[in-house]
Parts: sequence; C-alpha cells; structure tokens
Amino acid sequence: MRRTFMKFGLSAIALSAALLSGAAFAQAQQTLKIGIIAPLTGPAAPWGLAMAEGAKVLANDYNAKGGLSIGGKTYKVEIVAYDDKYKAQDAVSAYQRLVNRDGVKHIAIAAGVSTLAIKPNIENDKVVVMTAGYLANLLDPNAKYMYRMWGIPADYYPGIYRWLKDNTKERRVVILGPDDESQREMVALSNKLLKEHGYNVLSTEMYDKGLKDFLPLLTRVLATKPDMIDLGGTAPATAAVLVRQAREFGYKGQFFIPGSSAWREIMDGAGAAASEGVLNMVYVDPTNDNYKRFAAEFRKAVGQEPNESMAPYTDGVNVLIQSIVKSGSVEDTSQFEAGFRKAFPMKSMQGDNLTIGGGMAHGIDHQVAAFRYIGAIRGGQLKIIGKIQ
Amino acid sequence: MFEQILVNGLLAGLIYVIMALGFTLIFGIMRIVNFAHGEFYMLGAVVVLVLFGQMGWPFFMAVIAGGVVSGLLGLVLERLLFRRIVGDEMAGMIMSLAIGIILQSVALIVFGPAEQTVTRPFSGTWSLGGAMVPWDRTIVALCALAIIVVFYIFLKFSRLGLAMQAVAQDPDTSSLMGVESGSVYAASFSIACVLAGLGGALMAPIYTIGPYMGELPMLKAFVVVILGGLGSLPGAVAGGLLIGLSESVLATHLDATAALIASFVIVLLVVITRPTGLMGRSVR
Amino acid sequence: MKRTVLTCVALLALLSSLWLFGNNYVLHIATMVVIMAPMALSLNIMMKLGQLSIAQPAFMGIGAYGAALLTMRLGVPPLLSMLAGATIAAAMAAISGPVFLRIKGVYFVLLTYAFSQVVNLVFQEWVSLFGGNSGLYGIPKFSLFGFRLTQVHHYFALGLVFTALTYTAMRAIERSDIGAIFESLNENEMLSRSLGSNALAWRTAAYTFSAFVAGVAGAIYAFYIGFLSPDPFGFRASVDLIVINAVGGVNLVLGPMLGSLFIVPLPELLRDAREYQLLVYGVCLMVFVVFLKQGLVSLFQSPKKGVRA
Repeated sequence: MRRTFMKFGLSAIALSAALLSGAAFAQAQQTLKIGIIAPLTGPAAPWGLAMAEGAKVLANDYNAKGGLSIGGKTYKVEIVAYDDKYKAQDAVSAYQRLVNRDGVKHIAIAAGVSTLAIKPNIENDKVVVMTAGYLANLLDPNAKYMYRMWGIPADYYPGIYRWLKDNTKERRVVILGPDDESQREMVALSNKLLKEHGYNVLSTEMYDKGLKDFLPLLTRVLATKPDMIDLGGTAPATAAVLVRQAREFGYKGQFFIPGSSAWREIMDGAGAAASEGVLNMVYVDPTNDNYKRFAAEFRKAVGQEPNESMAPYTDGVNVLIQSIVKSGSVEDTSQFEAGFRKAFPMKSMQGDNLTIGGGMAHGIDHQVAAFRYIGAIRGGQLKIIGKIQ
Repeated sequence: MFEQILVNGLLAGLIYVIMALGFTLIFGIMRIVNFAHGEFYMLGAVVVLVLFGQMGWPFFMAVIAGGVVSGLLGLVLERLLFRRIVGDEMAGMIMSLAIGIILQSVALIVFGPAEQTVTRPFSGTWSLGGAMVPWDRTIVALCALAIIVVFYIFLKFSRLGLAMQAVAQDPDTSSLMGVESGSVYAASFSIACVLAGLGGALMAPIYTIGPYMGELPMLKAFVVVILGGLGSLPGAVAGGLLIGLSESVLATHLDATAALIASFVIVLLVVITRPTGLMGRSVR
Repeated sequence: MKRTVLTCVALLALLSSLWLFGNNYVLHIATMVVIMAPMALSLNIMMKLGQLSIAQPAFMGIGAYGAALLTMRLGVPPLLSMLAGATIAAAMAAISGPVFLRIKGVYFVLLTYAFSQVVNLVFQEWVSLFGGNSGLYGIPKFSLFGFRLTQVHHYFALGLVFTALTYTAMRAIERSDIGAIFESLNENEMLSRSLGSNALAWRTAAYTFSAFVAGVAGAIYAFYIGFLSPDPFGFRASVDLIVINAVGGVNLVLGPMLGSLFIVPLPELLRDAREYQLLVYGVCLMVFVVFLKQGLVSLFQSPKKGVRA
C-alpha cells in the first residue's frame, strides 16, 4: 500500500509536469492568432466546422497576399480552433487553453451556451470575443469586450415578417420550434410579430429537438387547417423530415423557415415536388462566386459541403481581423473598440455592405448588421427573392 | 382523428418492436445489456446509405446486406471479446458500452457529423378509413411483421432456436444435455445484431442517417423490453405496440415530451412492481 | 509510516507548485479533476455493492440546481445551499433506495437510467424553475464566511478539500466494519443477512451517501462554472464515470482517483486528434475491461493483495 502511494505520487508528478510544460506562453511573434471555440464534433459540428474552416480559408487569403499590416508590423494570420462539443465546461477549457497557453486575445465563438460560460472571464482577461450566439443576454452595456457577428431574431425577425406579410397571402399559421436554448425566445417573438401583422396564429408548439416522428404532432396541428407552417429555427435535417411528413398527410400550404437555412436538406430529403414553394431565410446566394470559392476550399479540406452559415461566420471573423488592423494593436485590446468603429462599412463575403447595429435592442452597439436573404425553392432550385438586414 | 392516432401508433409500435427484438434476445440468453445495440442499428442504416444511396443497389438487397454486415460484426465481436468475460454481467455491460463508443466514433470519422438522407424507395400514402397511411412506413411495418413471424418460427421449431431457449432457461443443465452454450451465445449475439441491423436498414429512408441515430432506438428498445420483459419475444411485441399506441395518444393530445416522460414513468412502475415485465421469465 | 509521510509531503509539494505556478488553463483542468473525482467515488461505492447506478449525474444535477437556485432566488449563503442541495439529492436517494435497491443486476441499471432520464426531462421541461435547455445563468460566486471565491485557484482548493474528505471517508469505511459489511453484501447477500445485517438498510445508506457526495460535487460545479444546463447531467456523464472506474479500478478507493487523474485531462491531451478522442476513449475502455480488469490501480498493487475475479 505504501508503494502504491509512491508510485501514484511519481506518476502524478510526471503528468503535471507534462501539463505545466505547456503552460509557457506562446508569444505571438509576428503572428496574429485568432481563437475559435465551436462544436467541431457532435451533432452541431456542421456549424462549428463552418466557422473554423471558413476562418482558415480567410486566413490563407490574407497570408497569400502577404499578411496583415498592424501598427507598422507585418503579421501572419493563424487560426487556432478548439472543440467545445457544445458544452459549457468544454468551452471553458477551450477558452482557458486559448488565453493562457496559446496567448490568444481575440476569439470567435459559435454557441450561445458556450459564450455564456466564458462571458464572466473576458472582462478580467481583456479578451475580445465575437460571438454568433443567439441568446439575448450575451450583449449588455457592461460587457465591453463582447461583440456579436450578426443580428439575432430579435433584430431581424421584424424585417423578415414584414417582408412575409407584404409578399405572401397566407394568413392562418401554425408555429413549430425545437425546444432548445434560444428557440423559445424566437418562437415567442414570431408569435408576437405575426399577431401584430394580423395573422391568425392557430397554435404554437415546441417539440423535443431529437424528435423524428412528427405524425402525432402533425395529426394534431393539421386538424386546425393552417395554410402556413412557420418552422422557426428547426434544424435542417429535421425540417426535411417535417416537410415530407406533412406533405404526405396532404398538407398543401406554405412553409416558412425564418430561423435556420434548411433549403438544401429539404430538397434532398423531401424531394423537389414536396419542397416546391418553401420559403427559407438563407445566408447565402448560392450563385455568388466568392462564396462558391470558399465552399470549394472547404470541400477540399473537410470532404463535405459546408453549412452555409460559413458565410456570416467568416464575415464575423473578418470583422474581428479588420478591427484589429484598424485598432493598430494586437496586444492592446482596449483599442479594439475604436478599431471596430473604424472598420465599417466593410464588404461581406458576398459583396454586401456591412454596418454596425444592435444599439437600440441591446443597449450597446457591438453588433454587426449582417444581411440575410430570403429564398424560395422553385423547380428544385433556390431562387433568392429578397434581402433584409 | 381517432383512426389516425391508431394508425400512427401501430406503425410506430411495429418499428419499436423491430428495435427491441435484438435487444431482448441478447439479454434473455446472455444476460448482457447491449449498450451498443443502437450502433448496430446505425450500422444497418449506414450500409443502406452506401449500397442503396450511393452505389445504386436495389433497396431490399441493401437492407439484407445491412442485416448481414451487422450480424457478422456481432459474431466477430462475440468471439473475440465477449467470450473472455462470460458470466461477468458488469464487465459485459461495460464492454458493450465500449463497442458502442467505438462504432459511433468510426462512423463519425468516416461519414462526418452531418445527418444524411437517402431517396425514399416508396412514397405516397393510402387511406384506411379516415386515416392517411404513408407507404414507406407501411412497408417497414409489413417487413417487421414478416421478421417477427420468421423469428418466432425459428425459435420454436429449429434446433438452434430450441437450444437458445434452453440456454436461456438453464445453461448448466443445457450443457449437460449436450448443448454447447458457447456457440449458442455466438449465434444469439449475431442474430440479435442482424435484427438490429435490419431495423436500421429498413428505417434508413424514413428519417435521417447519422452517427448519433442509434441513441433514440436504444432508448425505445430499453423501454419496450422492460415493459414486455427481458428475454420475451411476445413481450417485446406487446410492449412495442403498447408503447407505440400510448405515445401516439399522448403525443397527439399533449406533446411528445409528455409521452416520453410517461414512458419512463411506466418503466419505473413496471420495474418496481413487476420487474419481469408483462411476459418475462422470473429473474434467476 | 515514513513512506506515508514521504508520499504526503511529495503530494503537498506537487499541489502547491500547481497552485503557485500553474496558469489558469492547467488549474481549470485540475479543478475539473477534483470535481469529477468525488463523482467517480460516488459511483464506486455503488459498483462495490455490485449495482451499477446510472443515476449519479442526476444526483449531481439535483445538488447543482438546488444549490444554485437556493442562493440565487432565496439568498441562502452558498455553503448552506451547497449542503442543502446535496441533502435534497440524498433525500431522493433515501426515498427511492428501499424501492430501487431491492432490484438487482441489470434491472437496477435500467431503473437508475429511467430515473436519471426523468430528472433530466424535468430540468428541461420545468422552464420557469430550471431555465430549460437555456439553463441558469449568473450563479453567484461561492463565498465562505465573507470570503468570495473568485479565482480558479480557489475552486481548485475547494474541490481538492472535498475530494480529500470523500476519499478519507471512503477509506475509513473500507477499513471499518461497515466496509466489511459492504463487501459481504456484494459477495454473498444471503449469508450476510443470515449473520444479522439488514442488507437493504445498508444498501440504502450507501446509496444515500453516494447521492450526497454527488450533490456536493454538483454544487461546486455550479458555483465554479456559474452557468447550469441539463446537458452535463445526462447519460454521457455516466459513461465518463463508468470509464473512470473501469480504467482506475473498482476494488480500491484509490482506483477512481487514479482514473479521474487519467481520464479527465485526456481530451486536452488529445486536442489535435479531436475526432479520434471518442475512439481512443472506447478503445481504452475495451482494453481495460479485457486485459486490465482491476484497473490502473492493479499496476501498483503488490502481488499478495488478492485479485478478486
């Protein structure tokens, strides 16, 4: 038993030495390290990989052009991406590693829950965070180092529902949404906006996000005879299943998906006939050349089609980079805010003009007013028929 | 609406039975909770994705291939791994957990995390009274029935089937009678994997295919098999249909989560009051 | 005696250097180790009784949410709410114990699985109390007699103290009469019953103790991370605990400690091979179950200590 302790002690020392040895700061020598915390494995991986790999293509673009000139020095851009598995404690590990081991001072982060988990630390550590998270409490006037790379439903839903009212004639609507973090807020908002625009909201349903069998739900919901189903932020593969099952049950009405870009999966999973006319908020005009280039690079690196959120995510990382350039300093993050303001207007990946937004809704204008497109599936193809900011 | 709920419930129920059959078999004969059951199910679906979705094989051939691949893998694993830990229930559970993790991660590495779909071989619906019955689920239900019948005949009338029942009841006496429990275990495990693989293969076009798709069927199999009795085939059928119908009623009138909670509460009640389930044998 | 003193000194030196020189990253990992170690010990008690419980993370969740809500909504001082949260978890174990523990083997596993799923569903569905899938945000920092724990170092110390307490308690139990009773319950219950020990009462006591430990670990987790969601308390967490015990070794109390030390930091060491992490996990587990059934602990054991089949 005594021997056990000795050996235990020795091996623990060895293990700790291994960990501590990595603790030395990796000083950024002419390298600008941008950290990324995103789900790189697990069911949310398509989004995480879109952020990480899109950022890498962007970094390669900059480096091919000779790097960045910041404060009189030339920097190479390096993306350091860590997996948070969509879990709070893993996000904290990833953050600690980026900040304390890798010396990173600027981080892009995908998930709302992960952002919440690290939020308490960033003010102390003076680390700039650019989040894609949808939760409303991510931005607040006291969070000086937190920024968001796009508008959340609270920001863009009013625009998109106004467009809907002006461009479609269906008025009897059922709202469905997966029961996940921000989706409750989104569904409540949809409900409110639709009612304000004079729609008859027949019912609002939150379904378990792992649900695949929608027949009971559809049986209940279709009995009220809606002519439009609002799918909120339903995940793409699930949206395909829902559309198909609803059509099989004889539903002939409209589908509207304002919260996630699902058109490709719906076309593949439900078929051209069932998906005809589906209206979807999309991030990307698939005919855009620059996007196609990014997508090709992604396909080479990962072996799959990218999730289209890659476009706004990469724009977010680009805003981060350009703000650093305009701020004139990599190390002094207190200059970042000034740099952020000077960086706009700037071009998005697809050529739109990005500006600053979010001041009224969130008490602090640390948000990028990104564009979203409205697409309709017609004849087995996606046609862009509208654009909102 | 009533007929629709009934139809939905029966279709879902038969799908659950398929998911549960293999699971209950392994438990009944080898007393192992196969935590990897969902992954063998996924394996069948993945085979269909590759053979039918990508390589253009006829659908039913791909389904059978799915079953065969799962069964072969099960056989190999039983011989190599489970053989070494016979009798140790906890080690068996942990081992099956390990296998499940490994299969899931291999699927993740090879196919990526995104869920994929295959074009459906059957589409459209037909009417039964006031209810609409989707064709693709009808085919699955019919295949499920066929599989159940074939399996039942096998158990009752074939030598191997009878040997399996004997070993389930009493391995020591069976070996005295000349039934070699080792090969019965191997056969049972691989047949159970065939069933799981067939289930996944049949279901591949119905929902989506991804590395995590086995988790839900595993959950359902647990619930069905506890209700029906670990090791009982009629129990699995009765349990599956009951759960399918009750879920259909609850999910239509309330919502799916209420149905899920109800299922678990039923499980708790059943295990506490009548651990052997509706039709299971008594615990050794 | 000298050896024990030496190893204790070595340990203290190690831990102090960690505290003084380790950066936040290393300390974060260390804190997670000392939060998971008591969880692994909590499962270990049940595994020693031959009952694999999947409910431990659910008890952790009850302790976590309980402590967080008591402090956030009712202003209860953190130490008190931590103990209260753990007591609620223990109470649930004490109530369900006599019913659940009657049931052996696989059925018990399935029961605890169902229990843990119901608890998780309640966390998800009772949104007004628990915040649903969005979770609880803004859990205040832990404070002890006016001293607020704001840094990683503090939580590491808190977790370490609790781990040491749990370890000591379990070693004491192992060496005492109670430990002997537990062993006999696992080996041959009928015999021990015939000798006069009330098996069910002892099992329930063990179950309750394990739930209390899990509850405290959950509370520490809540105060440390500052944010709670149902996710860390589900089936995946149970898998981790099982892996830790299998790898570390079930028979000795040291086993889960070693297991936590090895398994919790593993994802960090495997960061470059993240898709293969899960694979490594599974292969590790398999290798240990087949070849090293007694766990890492057995590598350090002197041969004369009997190896139980």
